Amino acid sequence: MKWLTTAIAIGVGLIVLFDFFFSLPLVNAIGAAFREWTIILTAFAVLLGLINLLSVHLSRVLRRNEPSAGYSALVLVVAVLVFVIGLIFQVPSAPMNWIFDNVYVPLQGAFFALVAFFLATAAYRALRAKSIETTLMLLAALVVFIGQAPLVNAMTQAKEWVLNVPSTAGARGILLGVALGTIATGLRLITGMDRPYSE
Amino acid sequence: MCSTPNPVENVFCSNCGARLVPLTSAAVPEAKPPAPPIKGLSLPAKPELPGETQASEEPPSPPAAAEPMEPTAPAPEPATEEEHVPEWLARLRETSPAQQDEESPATEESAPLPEWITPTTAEPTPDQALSKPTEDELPEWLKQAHIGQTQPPELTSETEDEIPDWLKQAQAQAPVAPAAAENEQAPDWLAQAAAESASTEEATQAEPTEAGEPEPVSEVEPVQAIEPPKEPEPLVPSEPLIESLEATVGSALAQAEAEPVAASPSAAVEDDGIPDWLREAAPPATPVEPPKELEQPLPSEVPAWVAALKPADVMAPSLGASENEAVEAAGPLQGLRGVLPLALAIAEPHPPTETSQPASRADGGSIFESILAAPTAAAPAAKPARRALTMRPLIYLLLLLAVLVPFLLPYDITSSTFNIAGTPAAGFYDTLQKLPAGSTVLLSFDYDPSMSGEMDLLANAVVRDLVQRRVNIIAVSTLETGPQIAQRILDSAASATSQYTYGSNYLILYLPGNEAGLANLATAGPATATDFVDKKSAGQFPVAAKIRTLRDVAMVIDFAGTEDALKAWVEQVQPRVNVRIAAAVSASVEPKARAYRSANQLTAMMSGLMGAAQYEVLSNQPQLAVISINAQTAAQLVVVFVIILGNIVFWISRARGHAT
Repeated sequence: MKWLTTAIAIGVGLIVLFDFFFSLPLVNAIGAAFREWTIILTAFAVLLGLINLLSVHLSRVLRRNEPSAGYSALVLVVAVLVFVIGLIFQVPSAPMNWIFDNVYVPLQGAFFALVAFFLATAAYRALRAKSIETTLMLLAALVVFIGQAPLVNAMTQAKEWVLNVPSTAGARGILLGVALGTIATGLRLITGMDRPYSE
Repeated sequence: MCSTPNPVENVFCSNCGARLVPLTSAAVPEAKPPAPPIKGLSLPAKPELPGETQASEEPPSPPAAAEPMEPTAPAPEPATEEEHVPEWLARLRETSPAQQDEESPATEESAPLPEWITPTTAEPTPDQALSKPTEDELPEWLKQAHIGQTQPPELTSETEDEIPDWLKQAQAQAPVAPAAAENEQAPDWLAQAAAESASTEEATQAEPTEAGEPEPVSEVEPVQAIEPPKEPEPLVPSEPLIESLEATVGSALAQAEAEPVAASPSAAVEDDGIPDWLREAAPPATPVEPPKELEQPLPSEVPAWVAALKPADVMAPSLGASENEAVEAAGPLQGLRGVLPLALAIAEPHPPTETSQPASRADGGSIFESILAAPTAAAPAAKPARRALTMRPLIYLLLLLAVLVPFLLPYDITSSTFNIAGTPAAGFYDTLQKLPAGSTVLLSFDYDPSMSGEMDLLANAVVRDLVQRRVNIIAVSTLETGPQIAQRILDSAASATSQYTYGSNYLILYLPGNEAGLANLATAGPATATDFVDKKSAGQFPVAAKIRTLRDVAMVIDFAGTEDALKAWVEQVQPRVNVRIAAAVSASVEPKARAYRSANQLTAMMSGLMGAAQYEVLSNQPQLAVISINAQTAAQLVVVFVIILGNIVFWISRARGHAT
């Protein structure tokens, strides 16, 4: 039955590809239907993610000698609590907005702010002029850091040059490489050379 | 009989003269209750002879069938033997001439064949029917003697026609074994029973009847002579039978152990409810010996395949069995000597075999021996563990102070030093200023709460400016938390502006499916999506009623916290509808956004906290971004200091390493 799954994948891929390049009413309608199916599957993926999260933490709670059982229990309690509140008051609502603005967003912001401290220590250990390449990288980082600071206007032009020329060239090369890789992967899928769906 | 009532003492009827009292009274055999069955036993039934059970208690009574109840009519003329002998009997005589010679005189002398066995073609007369012994009139010993025999006594013309041909042929081919041979093959109990039956029959024949009529011996003798009882089928031991016998014998043995050994087993089990035939079948003189070793498995318990594994005696010498080798004391190998010589071979000391080692191994061995023989060098003294000094606590402390202290200082210290002209934020601001009032822009909130600290500043600055300029806003998000972020920012900006309401001036939509959702938005427009607040179709709101496709919006502004979100808009939406897209992205996404901006795939772009602060200054609405820029500037300077410090320490340590 592998030929059937391969045929379906190739057919769907070609239809979506033609839908992108050509304005054909029938192909556009079929492509829109496929996209709707994808959206539905994505919604189920979110549901599966929630179930997986709860099952993992529930197994940790039920397991003996699990050091992180307390955190997992907290995750389960909070998840069930927010889920019940959402079912009762719907989204958006005042209780859910309060939880979001006063619990979720500050916790996420505080967790993300810790990255600044880790980056500072990483810069102390990693950004060292051990070779020519690392020296160039160190100089570029110092220029951008200092150029971002509004107190030192002298480095602003240098920062803009670093970001516009070498940084953009590197980013463009990365984007082009990613695009070529995506095209190659898409061609392999459409031609049936790769069949990740049948594994 | 005339049915006239007569006195009791009358022998003949006073009216018709008929005899009222029979000449002889039939002795009704005393009904003996059947022996209690033994559970689990399915032994073949032994013919129960009346004289066997009553021989010691009462005189044997003649068979009921031999005594006619009433005077019978004169017997019909006996037909000649040659005419009335059945065909199967003639064949039997031909096959066994010796037996025929022995039995024929007795048969001829005693009496002709009985009438019931004589085949006649005509219907039997009533007298003949009366003379013929019925099944009920036969004694039980005769009934059971006929059980299983191929030739029943009811071999009349009526039944002969009903016998199938195959049975007739079987009867003809059945060999008639002599009685002597039969007695030799029969078991003891059957032979004993046959002997007792014979003695009983002899006594019965010798006793004259009351009527003085000749005993119809011919009715019995031909049956015994022609159809001797077959040898019972050999016992097939079944599991229930074996179990029940073991249980019975076991209980009997246990009782025999409890009682004196001299007592006979029959006497020992006399009151146990065991039937007589089983008691007689037991060997009378064999004393019961207690089991020798009950712990040892009985031979019957050893499966055949285990017994097959038992080594033969001829194998012992080949294994080198000797008197010194051990004898197996238990198990299936009990009594065998030297069956397992390998254990002895292992246990006994044996000289090592001399094998030739390769030269390389010999050299290696000598080297290893020399190493072992060499004096060991003194191990270097372990240096005391010194806790390495790390700069981590100092870096954390400096960074914390750099973030907190600027919030205590006036916020306008650095705002005047901004170099805004020619920055991306300035281009972004100029692009938005070209939007006419009343136009509709589509804002995409593609960041999660973890990036709200940076992205909220950008979004707040842009949304406040748009709301103040009465630009309608349709906010969309492909993330689950995006609509709530959009709602918080838009409600905050709308509350600061009069007559800017939800549905009329701004709308919030949720687009599930990431790239697929964006593709659907590009092709179908925002009117087909569902409202986030009221869960209605976007087309029902005035702000989206005029927007059929995405080309109808003046601009798309993407607040992208990640590269993928920005790339999705550039790849899925911009090529399909060719709408203008401006991006306000995180500082980490700025290099990629600059690439799209330089390719004119983005109309405008600004990034990070610095871009938000510049936009606030340009829109003359200094808020949190301007305040935060001081803290960010201080933190960046701390990071620069840390990088320089790290390089100084590295170079110093490197110089010390070269010196040492």
